[in-house]
Parts: sequence; C-alpha cells; structure tokens
Amino acid sequence: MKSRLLCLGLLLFCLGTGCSGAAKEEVAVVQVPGVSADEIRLGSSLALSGHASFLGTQTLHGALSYIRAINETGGVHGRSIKVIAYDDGYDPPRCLENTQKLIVEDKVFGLFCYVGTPTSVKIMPLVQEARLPLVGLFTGAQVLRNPFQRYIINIRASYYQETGAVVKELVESLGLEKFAVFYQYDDYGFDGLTGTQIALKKYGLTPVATGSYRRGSVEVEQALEQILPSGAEVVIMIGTHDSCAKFIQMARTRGFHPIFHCVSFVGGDELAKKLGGDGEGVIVTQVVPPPTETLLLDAAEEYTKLLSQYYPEDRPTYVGFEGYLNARVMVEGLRRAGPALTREGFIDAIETIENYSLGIANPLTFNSQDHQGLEKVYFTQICGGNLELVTKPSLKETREVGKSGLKECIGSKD
Amino acid sequence: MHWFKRLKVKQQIAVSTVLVVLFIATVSWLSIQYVVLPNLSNEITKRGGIVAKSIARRAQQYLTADDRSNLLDMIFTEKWTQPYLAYVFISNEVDGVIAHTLLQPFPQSLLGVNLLPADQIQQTRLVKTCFGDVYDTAMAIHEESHRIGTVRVGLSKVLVDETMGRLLHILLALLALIISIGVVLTNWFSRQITRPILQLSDLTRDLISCNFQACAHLGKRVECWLTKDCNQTICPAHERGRPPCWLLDTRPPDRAEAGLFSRKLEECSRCQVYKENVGDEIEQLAAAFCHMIHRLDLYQEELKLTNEELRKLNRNYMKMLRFVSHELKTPIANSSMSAQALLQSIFGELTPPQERMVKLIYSNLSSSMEMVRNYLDLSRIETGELLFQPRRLHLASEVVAPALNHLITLIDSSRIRVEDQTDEGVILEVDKELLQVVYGNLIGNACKYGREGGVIRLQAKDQGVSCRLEVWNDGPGVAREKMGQLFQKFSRIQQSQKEAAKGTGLGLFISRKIVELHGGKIWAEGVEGEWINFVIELPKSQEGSRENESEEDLDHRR
Repeated sequence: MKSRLLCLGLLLFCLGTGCSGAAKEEVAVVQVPGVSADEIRLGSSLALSGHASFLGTQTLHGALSYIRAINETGGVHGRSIKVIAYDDGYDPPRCLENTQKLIVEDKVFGLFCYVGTPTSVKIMPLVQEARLPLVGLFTGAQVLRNPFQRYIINIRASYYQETGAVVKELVESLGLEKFAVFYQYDDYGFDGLTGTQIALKKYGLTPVATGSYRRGSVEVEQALEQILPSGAEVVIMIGTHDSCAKFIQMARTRGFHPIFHCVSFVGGDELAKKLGGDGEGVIVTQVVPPPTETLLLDAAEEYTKLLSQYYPEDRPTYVGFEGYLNARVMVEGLRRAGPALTREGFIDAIETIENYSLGIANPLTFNSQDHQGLEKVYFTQICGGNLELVTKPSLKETREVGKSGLKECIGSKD
Repeated sequence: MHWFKRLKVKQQIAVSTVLVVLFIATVSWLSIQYVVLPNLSNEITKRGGIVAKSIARRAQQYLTADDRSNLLDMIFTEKWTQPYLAYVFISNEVDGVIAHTLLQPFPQSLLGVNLLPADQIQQTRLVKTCFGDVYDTAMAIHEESHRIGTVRVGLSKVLVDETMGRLLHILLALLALIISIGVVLTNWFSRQITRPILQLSDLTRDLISCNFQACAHLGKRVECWLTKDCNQTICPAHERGRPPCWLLDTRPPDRAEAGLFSRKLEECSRCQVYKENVGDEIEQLAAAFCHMIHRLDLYQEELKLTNEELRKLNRNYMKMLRFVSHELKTPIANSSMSAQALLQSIFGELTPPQERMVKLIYSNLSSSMEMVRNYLDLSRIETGELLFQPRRLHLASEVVAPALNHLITLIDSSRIRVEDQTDEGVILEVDKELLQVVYGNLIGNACKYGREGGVIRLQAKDQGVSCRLEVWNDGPGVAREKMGQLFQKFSRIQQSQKEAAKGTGLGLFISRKIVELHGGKIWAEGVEGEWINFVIELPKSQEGSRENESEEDLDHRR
C-alpha cells in the first residue's frame, strides 16, 4: 500500500512540476517541437512596424507567397507549413522576447526569416542553447558566419563580401582612394565598417572619415559634418533607408557629390523611392539578382507570379525576393530531411545541398563546415528612380555623376 | 638517519630536496582542498546574491514602466554573462512570473522553493529543483517601500562543483609540474655540485698514479690566456706547453722569452691564469688544483732531468770501474800465482817468517781478486751488459758441485763442514755461470761470516713450477730488521771491524740482480746469533728458452 502511494506521489510530482524528468525526456525525443502529423510550425520575429517595417514586411511576404503555394500543393511530406511571425520593430529586446515566446509557448520547429543584424545577434545565444535551426537571415553580419555555428543557416552573401566587392571595383576600376564610412552605431554598422576597413587594407588604404548615427533615429547631421571636410570620393553607407536617404539629400544640398554606396540591407527599392531625384547614381549592392528579370530567371518569374497571386498590392522587390529565396531553401531542407523530421536531421539535410539551382543563375551550396549558401554580390544603381542592375564597366561612368552632380541616369541597363 | 648518512652527497641533496618539495606540495594541496576551494566556492555562491542585487536594481525601472522586453533582455544578458546561472526569473504577486530565462514552460514548483518572507530583502538557500541542486537567491524589488516583485537567481551547484573540480585539477597539475621541475632542478643542481667533487676525486686518483698530465676543469676550464682572451696568434709562452704559462713557472724564462717579458706582461693583464681568485669557490679550487699539478709536473720533469744526468755519471763511473778492475785483474792474478809458487816451495824452502808473510800476501791477493770480480760483475749489471744465457741443467752436478770445488780452499781454511743435501733430480733452466756466482757468493759469505768449525747446509727442492734453493749456516746471522738491507748495493751489516774488512758489500746485491734476471726472488731468514738461511726461489723454465732440449742431452752433458 505504501509503495503504491509512493508511486502515485512520484507520478503526480512529475506531472505537477513540469520539469524535464526522465519520462518527459523520452517524450521529447519522440515528439519534435513544432512538428505534428500535418503541420510544421516555424517562427519568425521581424520588423513589421517602424522605420524598418518595409524590410520585415517584404521579407515575410516574399517567403509566405512561396510557402502558401507549397501548402496549397500538399505541403512537405504531407505537412503544411505554418509560419508564426511576431513584430519586433527592429528592436533587439523585443526580438529576444518574441523568440523565447516562439520557443517556449509556440514550440516552433525552427526559426525563419529574421531581419536585421542587432536583432539576430541578440538571439544567437538562445539559438545555441535551444539547438533549433535558424534559416535565412536578412543580414550579412560576420558574427553570424564566423565562427561557424551549426544551427544558423545563412543564405545571402555577407556585408564583408558586399563592401569588399564595391571597394575592389571602385579602387581597381576607377582608381578611387578616398573612402568615407557612414554607419549605424550598432552591430550592423560596426560590421559594415570593419568589412570596409578590411577591404581597404588590401590596397593600403584606410577610411578618410567616419560618421555614425543612432539606431532608430535620422540624426545624421553630425555624421555629415565629420565626413564632408574629408573630401571623400566615395561614401560607404551602412544604415537603413531613411537615414541613408536623409544623409544623401543633405550632402547634395551642401554641394557634396561623392559616389554613394549602400549595402543590401538598406532596401534599395525603398531608398530609391525616398530619394526621388536625389538618388541618381547611388550604388546599392544586392545579394540577390533583380526580381524584375522574369524573362531570364525562373525564380524571379515564380516570385513575381506568386506575389501578385497572394499579395496583389505588393510590387516585387529585392528584399521580398530574398525572403522568397529563404523560403525556397527552407522547403528544400524540409524535403531533404524526410518525413521523420528532427532538428538535427534538418541541419544534416541542409548540409547535403550542393550546387542546387534556385533559379537565379547562382547555385547554392552548404556543407558541414560552411553554412553560407550564396556568395555573389550584384551592383545596382538608382536610375530614373528605379534600381537598375549595372555591369561593372558601366560603374566607370558613375564617377562622372559623382563629380558633376548630374541628376540623370547614365548607368546602362544590363 | 643512518641510511641517510650512508647515501652519497648527490643523493643526500636530491633526497632532501624531494622531501622538502613533497612537504610543500602536501601543505599546498591541503591548503587548496580545505581553504582555497571552499572559500572560492563560497565566493561564487555569493556571486548569485550580487547578480540578484544588480538585477533587482535595474529591474525596478522596467517593472514600473511595464517594459517586459528590456526586462527579459537584461536577465538574459545577465544569464549569458554568468556561466554558473541555471536560471533567472522575476515574479510579482499579481502576475506570477513576468520574465524568465528558461527555454521551456516555467515550472511553477520553482516559485515555492525559496519564498522570500515579507520582512526580508534577500535570502539564499540550497534547494533541490528540476535543474538539480541550486543555490537559489531571492531578492526583493522595491518601489519606494513597496515590494513590486522578486528576482530569483539560481546558481547551479553542479556547475560550481564542476568549476571547482576543474580548478582543483589545474592546481594539481600545476603542483605536479612544480614538483617535476623541482626534482629535475634538484637533480641538476646536485649534479652541478657533486660533479666537480667527483672530478676532483678522479684527479686525485690520477695524481696518486703520478699522472700529471691531468688537469681539473671543475666548472669552467682554466685555459691559457692565448686561447682564451687575448686573440693573439703567437704567444711567447705557447710553445712551452700547457697553462699556466711560463710567467708562473719557478724557472726563469730563457733569453728569447725574457726579451718578450714586458710585452707579455701587458698582454697578460686579461689572462685567465691571473684570474684564479675570480669565480666561485669551485672554480678557484679547480684553478688552484691545476696550478698545483703543474708545479708537481715541473718538479717531476726537473727530477727526471737530474736522474738522467746522474745515470749518465753513474754509467761513466761504472765504465771506469770496469776498466780499472780489468786492468788490475791480470797483475793481481799473476802476483797470486807467484805467491802460490813461493808457498809451494818451487823456488826453494821458505823460512817460517817468510812463509807467514807470503801466505798473508796470497790471502790479500785472493781478496783483491774477488773484489775485482765483483766490481766487474757490478759494472756489467749497472751498464746492462750482463750476458744472460739460460739453459736446462741439473742443479746439483752442474752448478752446486763446481761452485763448491771452486771454494774448496776457502772452505778448508775456514774449517767449516758443508752438508750438500741438494736433490739430484732438480733440473732448472738457468745461466750456469751466473748461478754459480750466486752460490759462490752465498757459500763464500757463509765461510767468511759463519762460525769457525760450523756447518753449511745446501738444499734444493722442486716445487712444481719453481725451485726453492737454500744456503743455511749456523753463523751469527743478522737482526731481522736488518735483513732487508743485506741485498742493497755496498751494504755490509757490520758485526765487527774485522768482518767489515772481509768484503766489498756487493756479493748479495749481485746475487739479487742475477736471481731477478732469472725472474726469481731471494731473501734471508734466520735467528740472530743462531742461524741464517738464504732462500732463492727460481722458476724452473725461462720464457722463450730452449724448451725442446731433451732429457738425453742433459744426461749426456752430466
């Protein structure tokens, strides 16, 4: 009788505490969080409101347009994909709160389509501790790539690669030497600044001036005052579209016409819209090809088609296209992981992707030591209020734009 | 401690140091185990309280502003920077848990394990939770005087213990390393200290065996100024040999060197030789030892030169002695024969006084003849020209009998009885003439110094590889302590003035040399005033002699 009471007590204790007892652990092994017979739950925390909402919304719409299409065709291995997305407003603490909620309460299988460097960096320890996959980050931060981290799957090229490509092109083709860096005073800006410094060091150069602004603000005046006297020929800009747009506009007003370059995170389409006529000649490096190339690229065609189907009010953008590609990789990983889906199995499956064609003429490859899928950087230039893909030789003409301050497009369409 | 004293110095140093190191290691280990680690563990435990206090201070503003995101950010940041934290959570009485750092649903049981009483601000307890044993610190968050929440910080005991364990391992490894280094260094030091002592011992052994070429180099080798410091290629002293240079020699430098003396004095200011008081005690000892050996070597060389000169002088003297003896031999022999003719009345009868005088002359001439023979033998021995021709022969018939025949006149005149007990079968490989000289000397001595009317007993025994020959007489003999002197050159143990006149003091010396030439030994035994016995031990065959000579040949010769 006594022993029966003891057993009952133990059982009640285990159930009551909710602690990870032995019985619970066994269940946990069998039941993968976020995976049921007919559903795979994915979580995302991204900026759906605030100054970076364009990035978050476009990424999410791009991704969801593909996922919805997949779900309508039967999902992956009979499971539909559900994406729980929370708005963090590009605020790291909110991103952390969302991520904990996604893991603890929503019990998601993995994380997906995070936007922004400071937000992604903030949740890195959480991802390591929870050992769940994080696929497709709209950031090129080096800290997410090096040192290697098993649970983080990067698809796009890094900021180091973007700044490296633009510095190489401008130094080698145009012989420019005076580079200034305008950056956001956080992990994102520091990463871009370091990338530029490393790229310049190869040519024995250092930035002639640097200027920063606080995240979430558009107070760029002080930064402009610091960069303007240096007579920089190029200003590398590591910021969001509103602060970068304001900086360019103020510089133009002051008669300062260097070559402006923004990295992909700026959201080139939005920047071009904001700048209007002041945007002519501004170079924006991209990590995905133009979504408008529907005739040449299958993926662009599909993205445009699906976007117009599910989000008819949206126009195809580079940001959205990247979100769409993230979803493609996610789905491919889930497919390869098979019906018996586990988090570790999913990572292993992702690592088997080699020279996989996403339909962007730029094959995707991962392996157990490298979770950086794409390497290519594309140059675009604002021309007539639109982003135009430019070939490298045509960048030479950019110099003339910078010098003369001509407000007309001279970059030829590729 | 007897065992310790039995050890060598090197081992004593090593053992002492190892014991000291072990003692220090034990004390260190006990200190680490019972003082350092518990204190450190305590400090880490306190760390939970510090973290809780820090969180409570900052949490207050977030709680009042209802900023859950930043509250969560703060406690997560705190958890990630403190490696021992199992959890951090903030609760209030209304909503329960507001923010926590867990990646699983919050276990409600955790709330009740360390309840903070209303009148307390902080409380730390070791509690059992689903994360194992945890040092749980509860800290109240106050707004003015009102408690608006509680911070709970859980420090994992397992992680603290693991860290302490790791620390212990590191400290033990460090201790082991220190001990190993200590032992190696001790070994090295003891070798450094004892090596010069051992070298000194070896050197002393070299000196005992008169090897003056050895030189101590305990620590640094003392070298010539030429090869060490001055970088000169031609040294006035260099040709003279080893350091220290001729400046320190007791001998004055020769004329050519003397001319360079002033120059050398200048150049030698940096010479190692003059730095003998420089360096540690061992180096100084080595330098002093080297100089001592050098001095000894110099003295020995001088001694060799002197000896050589003396030997040369001696050889000339011997040559002259032989020449004189040889020149004297013929006239003395002729005179002796003439005196014998007179005594035999060939030239007519002599009157008794004449006969007495002639006998005296004859006796003196016989002594002179023996003296001349001895001197000739001595000069041959000293100049190394003694002819040595050994062959196998019967001792009794070929050596003893002829020797006795030769001395018959002396024996008769001494009225001494000779008992020849020489074994007929004794066969030896010896030089017949030389051994006859030995027998002649020994029997002659027995006649001269023996008791008038006494007995001489001759014996010879075959002992296998050697033969023992004895010449015994019942004469007064010599004192035991003087027996060693008997075989010295010109040695005469004078019993009386009369006896002193009887010989040259060379007979036994010559006998010894002859016996030694045969590879044998000669010595004397006896009781003073009663008897004396001369013993000769000779090997039966000489190396490289004619071993193939047959027994028939011997018989035929006999």
